[in-house]
Amino acid sequence: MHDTSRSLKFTDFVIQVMTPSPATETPSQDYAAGVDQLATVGRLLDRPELARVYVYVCYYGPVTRPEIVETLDVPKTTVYDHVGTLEALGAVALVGDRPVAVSAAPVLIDADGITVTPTLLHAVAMQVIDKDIAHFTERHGVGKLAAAVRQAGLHYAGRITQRMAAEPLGISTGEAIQTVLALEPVLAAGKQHDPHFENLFPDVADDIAFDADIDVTAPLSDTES
Amino acid sequence: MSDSSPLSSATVTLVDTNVFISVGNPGTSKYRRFRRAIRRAGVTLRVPARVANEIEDGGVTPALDRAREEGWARIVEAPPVTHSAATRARDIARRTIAAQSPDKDEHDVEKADPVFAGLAVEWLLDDAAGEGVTVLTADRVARDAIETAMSSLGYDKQITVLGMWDVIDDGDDDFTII
Repeated sequence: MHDTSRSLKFTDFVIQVMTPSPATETPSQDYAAGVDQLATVGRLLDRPELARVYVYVCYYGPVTRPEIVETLDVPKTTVYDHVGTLEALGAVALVGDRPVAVSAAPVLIDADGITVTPTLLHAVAMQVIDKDIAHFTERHGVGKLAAAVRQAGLHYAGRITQRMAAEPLGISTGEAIQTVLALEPVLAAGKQHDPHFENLFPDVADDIAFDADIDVTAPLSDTES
Repeated sequence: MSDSSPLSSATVTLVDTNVFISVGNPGTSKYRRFRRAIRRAGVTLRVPARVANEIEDGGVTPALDRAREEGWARIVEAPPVTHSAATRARDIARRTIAAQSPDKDEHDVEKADPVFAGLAVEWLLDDAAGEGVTVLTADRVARDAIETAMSSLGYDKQITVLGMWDVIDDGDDDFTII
């Protein structure tokens, strides 16, 4: 499912800053690559359209650019631009030949409790297609969206009610219910496709489950909609 | 599900705001299926006034407005939870929710969740309940806790707790993954 080719620049190593080690102990190329990866993830957190292409490729790739155009319903020139940007950032790689496919390795940043995995980037990407998530992020910022993903995980793991997400996020109970419900497809897809899902939800990842039968095997929502 | 609805117009049907937030506004396929299921069952959903403000924060004011205009939902002043059995039900639901997290205690439980257990019993013990009470919620954790309270107090025959998918079938377009 995931292309784990070592030739990709965007590999899934862990950036550890929990206990700062002397400069001599961290190979400088790893350190440099780690900081580059942080910069890339920063860009994706800030660019929902870019994050959407990355997460789609990461979860369902390798895929061709025409497939991205069709599935995400984004103009062809935009998709080529985004893939070019992502490639320059090292987030995706072009693989194969006729057709050329786009491939992405799943990112993991796990530094001192700050965890970013494809699931979080998926939540960021959902701003493009889900007005509740867009509205939430506009009001509260991407950091709180990330915190909301964690709270939603606790709900779907059976630990807290939807309303109980309100207090830690500092939002109203109505907005908490709305946000937890809106994030359900993000968690369902992440559980299936994000190899670092457990890093995001230590202790509860295995318990995360859904009442609805959410089909995450294919990215397309039903064509008759 | 649509063949034999678990909903009945002979019972009081209490609905949590999360159900409206889950189905979304008129125009979505989920709203249409939900509306059809409720109208077919001939039920009027009761939304407790104490949580009605969540409808606006949850972005679904048009959903409730339309349901009220069409007569299949109304906002009701819920009775205070005073019967001792009702307060017991509420307390059991609250303890059950708190017990799901090692780092939470009863004070961390949002009051509005266990209160549905108390309200269900309160309504049942009032004469107005007809054949029983149904609680409809889109929150699995709350639903399990209310069910636990009902069965431990022996009300599970008269008080039914339902989730969204007990009332409507899921649709292919309910979730867009990306």
